[in-house]
Amino acid sequence: MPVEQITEFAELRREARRWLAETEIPTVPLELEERFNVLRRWQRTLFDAGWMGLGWSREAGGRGLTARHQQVFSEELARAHAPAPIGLIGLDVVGPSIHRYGSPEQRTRLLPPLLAGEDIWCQGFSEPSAGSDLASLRTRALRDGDKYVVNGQKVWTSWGNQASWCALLCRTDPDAEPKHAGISYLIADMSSPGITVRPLVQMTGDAEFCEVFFDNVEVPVGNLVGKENDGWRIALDTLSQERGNYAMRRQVEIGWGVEKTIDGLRGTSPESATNSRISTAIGESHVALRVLDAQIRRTVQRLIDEEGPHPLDSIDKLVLNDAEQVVGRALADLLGPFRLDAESQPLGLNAAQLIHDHYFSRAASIYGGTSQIQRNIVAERLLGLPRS
Amino acid sequence: MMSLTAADVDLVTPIREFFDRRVTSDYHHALLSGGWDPELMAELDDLGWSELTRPENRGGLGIDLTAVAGLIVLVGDRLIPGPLVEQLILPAYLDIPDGSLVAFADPAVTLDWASSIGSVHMESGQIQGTIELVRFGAEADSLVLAVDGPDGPALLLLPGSDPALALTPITSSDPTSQYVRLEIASRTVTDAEILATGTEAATLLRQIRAWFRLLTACEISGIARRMLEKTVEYVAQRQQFGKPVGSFQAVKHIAASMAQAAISMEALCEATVSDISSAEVDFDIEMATWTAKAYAAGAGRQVVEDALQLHGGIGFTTEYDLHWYYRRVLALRTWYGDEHELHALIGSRRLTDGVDR
Ligand SMILES: Cc1cc2nc3c(=O)[nH]c(=O)nc-3n(C[C@H](O)[C@H](O)[C@H](O)COP(=O)(O)OP(=O)(O)OC[C@H]3O[C@@H](n4cnc5c(N)ncnc54)[C@H](O)[C@@H]3O)c2cc1C
Repeated sequence: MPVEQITEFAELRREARRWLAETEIPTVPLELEERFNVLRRWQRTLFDAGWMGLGWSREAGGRGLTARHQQVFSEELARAHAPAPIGLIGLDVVGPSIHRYGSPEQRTRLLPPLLAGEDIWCQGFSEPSAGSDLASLRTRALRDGDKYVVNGQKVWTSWGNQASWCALLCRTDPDAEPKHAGISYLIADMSSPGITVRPLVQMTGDAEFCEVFFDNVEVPVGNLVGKENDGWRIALDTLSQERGNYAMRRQVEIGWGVEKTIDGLRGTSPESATNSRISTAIGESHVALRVLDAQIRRTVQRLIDEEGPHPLDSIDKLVLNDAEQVVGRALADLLGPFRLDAESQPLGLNAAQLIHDHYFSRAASIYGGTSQIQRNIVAERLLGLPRS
Repeated sequence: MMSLTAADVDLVTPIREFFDRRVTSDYHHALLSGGWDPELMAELDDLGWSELTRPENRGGLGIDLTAVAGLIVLVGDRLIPGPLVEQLILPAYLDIPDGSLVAFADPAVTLDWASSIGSVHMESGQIQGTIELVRFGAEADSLVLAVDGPDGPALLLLPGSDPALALTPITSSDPTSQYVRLEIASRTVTDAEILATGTEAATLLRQIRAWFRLLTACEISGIARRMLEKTVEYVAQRQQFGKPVGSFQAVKHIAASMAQAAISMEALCEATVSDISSAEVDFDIEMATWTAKAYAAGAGRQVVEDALQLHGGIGFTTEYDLHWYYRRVLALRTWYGDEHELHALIGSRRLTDGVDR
């Protein structure tokens, strides 16, 4: 790395540290609705101070820097035990694809409110009978003059009930062979007539994902991203965004959980450092996070080099799964039988939070493509093993 | 993809070419059966191996240890026996005579078994004690000995042939290294033999041990990458049920997990090396090297076990070379701590100091 760049990052780091030291860091409540509000306000604070979208262009409301700058800021958030901003799907997953493939008009219209946390986004990909085999999706969009008319159903749509916009995959050519050649990437306004959202309660207790029904929903043609029937390429980009941005977010969030746990243990049970069961769990978590950090650094380099989707993305996803699940399980195990009492605080541990995080970690090997699907990709496309 | 080596290609290329030329398949077999070949070590030394990291004011090239990590990845990849790690780390920190092969007698290769491995104690210029496991203790010209005394630790440099050092060879399960038990009934130490004492010795020991952990992790990482490549090659050509076994999903998924482990291990070694070389003030090198070694110990074993599994019966024979790699990883994983020992150490440090790396 050239010396100027190191200095530039060091400067950004100092600036971030200074700002974080002067800023009130919010405590994040466990309850979903409150959590949502606190984090949304936090994102606004970050946006107003110029910390959102460091790697995004200025027209999109960002700062025109690089993914590495974004990563430096994420590292500083983690160090300050500060939460990541709210814009989950929008910011980390869908947003970057709109940034890359959207028209200039779409970028300037849609992205600044996304960065500010004003607009929440959701990702309407999965359907009841199209999960791992996403290309078999059936939700139809029929062109009618200057609009598409959408009919069908999506499922497991995270934040569907909070979202203003949905990145929607639809079938625009039912006869296309292969199936993925007939899919388009639309942006649907969630307040459009004909959309019904039904929240589903997850194992964590949060009603975070939803069923979304589309009944003759009209989407203006100007909301098509890229070209008609060319949505698959963009969808793959969206799925691969999990690699850098989403992984950085989770690194901050998981790191934050580990720090809180350490704080609790030190405050209440100073003898825990000599209890090998406790120190082992903390050590395992530390190692898993550091492996994730090392992996993300390579990914960020690939993002800076502007590499598109790559089979190595699947390695990143698997490393993220492991970090989530190793930490989730190790920390929740420290509760022992107190796991049964979600209100309890054994050894200074926050049982409710640890149980929640442990349950959530089980989704890591499912969403964004299951770990089996990732291993198929690694084996065939990275290692070159023959197809089944 | 192996960026650790790519970064230091000027250093690695000549050594790789040397191995290509010198370590042929038959010779490799003989080498591994014999533990090591002093001649090979001497030739490597002629190429400048132990001069690389020796500071310039002591006649070396003064290359930073962060820059030679890629060489150790290569040593893992090629499974080359000999005190290669010792010959890079010890001359970098200690004043050791040119061209002398050196072993490191250090009871701190384990913490969980500390009560069994022994120690050497120094008092009023006399040393006595036992260390159960000293790698290359019998072959080395001299021995760096970590002792403890009334004023804390000290580092001594003793001639390997000294009759007061009773060295008993051990039947080793590590194909690439010989080990001895060292026993010192009583011996007087001269001032000239003392390399460092007190806080100076403590600092040196911390640094040296950190490097042993990190370079050992790099060596495991080199082995893991080799095992992955070998396994992918094998399952892509081995046929059962009329097709390559590598086309079965059960096999593919194991191979993909090996890739995950090998690649993430590489990324961690690379990140650790890079953090050490850019050394931010608040960066805790010790913690970072514990972390790298902890991960390499666990993930490294997983990779070699999976490699054995995917090779079926042939991998279990001594004619085939997988067992050498497997046994080497099992040896390296315990050297300076396996994942269990290091997880507990890292956790207890986090719970007391709260350092954040
Ligand atoms: C918390 C959470 C949030 C989510 N958020 C969103 C969202 O916001 N938007 C969205 O569009 N989707 C979302 N999803 C859906 C997610 O992408 C799908 O659940 C996922 O792609 C798997 O599809 P499926 O559930 O239909 O499982 P299936 O595809 O039915 O898989 C069932 C099992 O079979 C295995 N399997 C399937 N095919 C293969 C194969 N070829 N080889 C080997 N094994 C196979 C799978 O690995 C899995 O173990 C979310 C899911 C979760 C859990």
